[in-house]
Amino acid sequence: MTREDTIMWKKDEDTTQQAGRTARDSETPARSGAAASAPSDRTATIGSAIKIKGEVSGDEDLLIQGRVDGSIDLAEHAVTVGTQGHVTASIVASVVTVEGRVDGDIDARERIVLRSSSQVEGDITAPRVVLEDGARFRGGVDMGDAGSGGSSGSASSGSGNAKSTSSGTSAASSSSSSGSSKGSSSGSSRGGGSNGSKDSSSKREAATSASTAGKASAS
Amino acid sequence: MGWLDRITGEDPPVAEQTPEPTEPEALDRPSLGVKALFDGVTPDSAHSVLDLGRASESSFNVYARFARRIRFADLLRAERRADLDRALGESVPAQPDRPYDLILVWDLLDRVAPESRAPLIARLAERAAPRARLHVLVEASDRSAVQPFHFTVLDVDRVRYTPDGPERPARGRLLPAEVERLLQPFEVARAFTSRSGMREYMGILQ
Repeated sequence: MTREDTIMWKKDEDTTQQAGRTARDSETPARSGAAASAPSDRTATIGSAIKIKGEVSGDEDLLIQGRVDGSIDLAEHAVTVGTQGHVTASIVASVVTVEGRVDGDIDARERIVLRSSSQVEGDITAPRVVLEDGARFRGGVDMGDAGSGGSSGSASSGSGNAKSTSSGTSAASSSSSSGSSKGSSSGSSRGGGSNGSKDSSSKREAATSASTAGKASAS
Repeated sequence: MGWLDRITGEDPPVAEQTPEPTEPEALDRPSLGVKALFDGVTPDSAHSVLDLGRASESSFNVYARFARRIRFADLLRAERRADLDRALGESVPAQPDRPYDLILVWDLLDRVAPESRAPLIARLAERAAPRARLHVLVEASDRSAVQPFHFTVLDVDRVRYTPDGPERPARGRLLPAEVERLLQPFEVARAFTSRSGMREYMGILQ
């Protein structure tokens, strides 16, 4: 076994506890539905000295303090990009909290929180989004259609300038990967313009095992 | 001659002491232009807001009252790049199925090179929904230097002006008729002059 193989996942007690706290802070989602796996108290950590190129999928929450280039698919779990984390990847998860840097699209089934220390470039999609002051964000936010309290009617102007409705209430197809398929990573799809609502059921095909594909290296 | 004073032990004359540059403070101001932008707009999940400025918690929360799709292009940062058109293409992707209904340009017209103004508006018009509304701020004073800002929407009728770097020489002042021509195919529906010396325009795509 090479050194690279042995350090794909680094867990130590301290960082795991810290990650657990962070995940709880970000309201780790309750798991429900048939596709939900057994509850997991565990949080995996990609430490600050770890660099992963490829796809990351799994069945537990994840704290990233290192660097990930590729894609992250933890559709049933919480992903936290810590203050030292730098992700150049698309992220699919249930709850995503960013304290560090993300270059890529983020798709969360429940919630995305961009903390004040975060720096994000990419499109984010979630029913609930929190953008804290100080967060540096460039991209689109798509909160879907749910809970908006209205159908696609026209918004009229009091000054007589009727504001038209856009025609696009239909959900755009998701470009993000789901499940735990491995292969070549495609990186982020930033700026691709697809930021529509996504079929959450497709993201329920959760990965069932913690795994990474591709190359991991320590720096 | 501060070094000589230090060597000779003499205190420099008070007049030679340069005061510490003070950071200009952010100012919260009422904004009739932003109020006009949101006037009568009802919340609708199909609405889409485009802010060419910097993202902020407050702006986001205000926009989220009206729309579920919000884009922050942060072109005020990107305008330092030579190729604004490319930056616009990257930051404001065309969304034919989800065009923008409310567009906040802020003071970008004053910041970009004169030859970039019309193409900028044309690009925005391509990405705008029919009857979309657009808000711009233009320096209206005769000052030779202007303070660039970044802007935060505090409420539908209030905006925070936060200084964004040092003052810079003013480009040629844009007169109202010139702005109206530049904004085509957006037709200016409302215009206001604020106490800050800036003029706000709200245009509607024809």
